[in-house]
Amino acid sequence: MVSRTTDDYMAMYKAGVRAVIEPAFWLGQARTHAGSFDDYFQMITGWERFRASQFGIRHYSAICVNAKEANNEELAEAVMALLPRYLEKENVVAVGEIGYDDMTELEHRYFKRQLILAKERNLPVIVHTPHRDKKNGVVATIQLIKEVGNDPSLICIDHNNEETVGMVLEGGFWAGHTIYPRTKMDAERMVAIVLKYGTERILVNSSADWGVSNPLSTCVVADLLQKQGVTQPELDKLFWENPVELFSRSGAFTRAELETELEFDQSNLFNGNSVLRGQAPEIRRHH
Amino acid sequence: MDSLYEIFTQSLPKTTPAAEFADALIAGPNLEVETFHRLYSGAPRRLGREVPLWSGVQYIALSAHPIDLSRETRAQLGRILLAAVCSPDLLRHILLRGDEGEQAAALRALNLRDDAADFKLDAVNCARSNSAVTFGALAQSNPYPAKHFDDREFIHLLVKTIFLGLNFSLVTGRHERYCDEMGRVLSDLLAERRSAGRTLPDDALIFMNEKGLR
Ligand SMILES: [Zn+2]
Repeated sequence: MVSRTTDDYMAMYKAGVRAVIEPAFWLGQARTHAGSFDDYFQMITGWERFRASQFGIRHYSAICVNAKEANNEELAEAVMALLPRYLEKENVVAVGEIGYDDMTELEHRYFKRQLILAKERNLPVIVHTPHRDKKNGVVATIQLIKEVGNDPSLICIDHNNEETVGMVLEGGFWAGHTIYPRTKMDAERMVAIVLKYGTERILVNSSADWGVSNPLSTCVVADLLQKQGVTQPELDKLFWENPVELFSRSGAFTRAELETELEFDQSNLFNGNSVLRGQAPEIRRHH
Repeated sequence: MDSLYEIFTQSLPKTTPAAEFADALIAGPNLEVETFHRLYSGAPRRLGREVPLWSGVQYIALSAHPIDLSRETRAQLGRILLAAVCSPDLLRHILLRGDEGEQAAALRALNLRDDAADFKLDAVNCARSNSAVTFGALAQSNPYPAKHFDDREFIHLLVKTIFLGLNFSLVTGRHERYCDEMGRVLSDLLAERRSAGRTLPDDALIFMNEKGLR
């Protein structure tokens, strides 16, 4: 959540969020040096993890050459060389988000090579699908994954809509849905998808980037589902058990570890003026 | 080091990744760079994230070293032992570019190395981190700063311990390193806090009382 403020983390904790997965992505402006990726990967495997922990939230990440920046071949090649090291990092739970964006030759090449990296390491994968020409993009995505031969139960194909969720589930993949406040997939449409398809292998995630987005989107969807009569066990499955099941297969955490509360000081959350000002909180519990 | 190595390897799960890690400790400075990074970063999922249950004898051996290692997780203990024997270049790399857990292990491992003094500037640089994990590994129950930092660096570490909300009384060597300048800095900090209607943690105030500072 490198684009977000500590207010977001506080609101998330208050709303019940206890863990996040931050996939490596485009920062809104193309990077021009491989070193920028190196430092970015360090940030989402290091400092950002510590920052989240200050607010009681466990932070995990996914590492990759994203689809957009795969179109800069020289850069992508240099970043590929960094991946084996970062995929070993303690909080890394997946390769991602990789995939097609403009469906170019280079996107295809790096998508495929990173699927192979994941397969060799038995790691989960978060797959980005194009926002333009979505259905065709998802068809090509499924075809490539089958060609490489990844275990579909380790793959989350993300950014689905009403047109694609069916074929993704049919292929044995996890169907991810990224919720945006107004555009793309919104909370109301997500509710309809859950009512139609149930909760098996369905994932819901919040867009929480530098654009118009809301890290509490998952909570908005959960509230709406509850109003529609979806039971608590089904909600637990959708928003906790499903992602835990998929991403714990990375070996980076166990469900039991995740279900112990992080040690931190709640006064930082609810007592506005004690929160970090350039320094970490002044009150922390220690054993 | 030999007894540490034995205690550690006896505690390892009987798995291939764990065995590979034990081999790496023997290879020490001759370990291939990529292998080092893979094992050092991957230690938590290869070795386990829990603190092992040590026997009494093991516990005494682990806590009797220049630095107490008895409460480290198995992964962190593995990293510490690896950082204690790796090449100076790799250790420097971790201190500069490692994530919090990796830096923490390297900062504890410094105490087990004969060339510890060579890494003073790297350790001072780690003390600039605002991560309580990295900074805490250096500032809490670690004899390295008191042994190698100059007065200015040590005082900075002590004050930052307060700022990060860490335990003042766990800064090793604060009495031995006490000097007039440390007293002045602490007194100024207390005055500044009082002007803002705040104070200092109890253990810092007790320390100041002992030194006759008001
Ligand atoms: Zn995406």
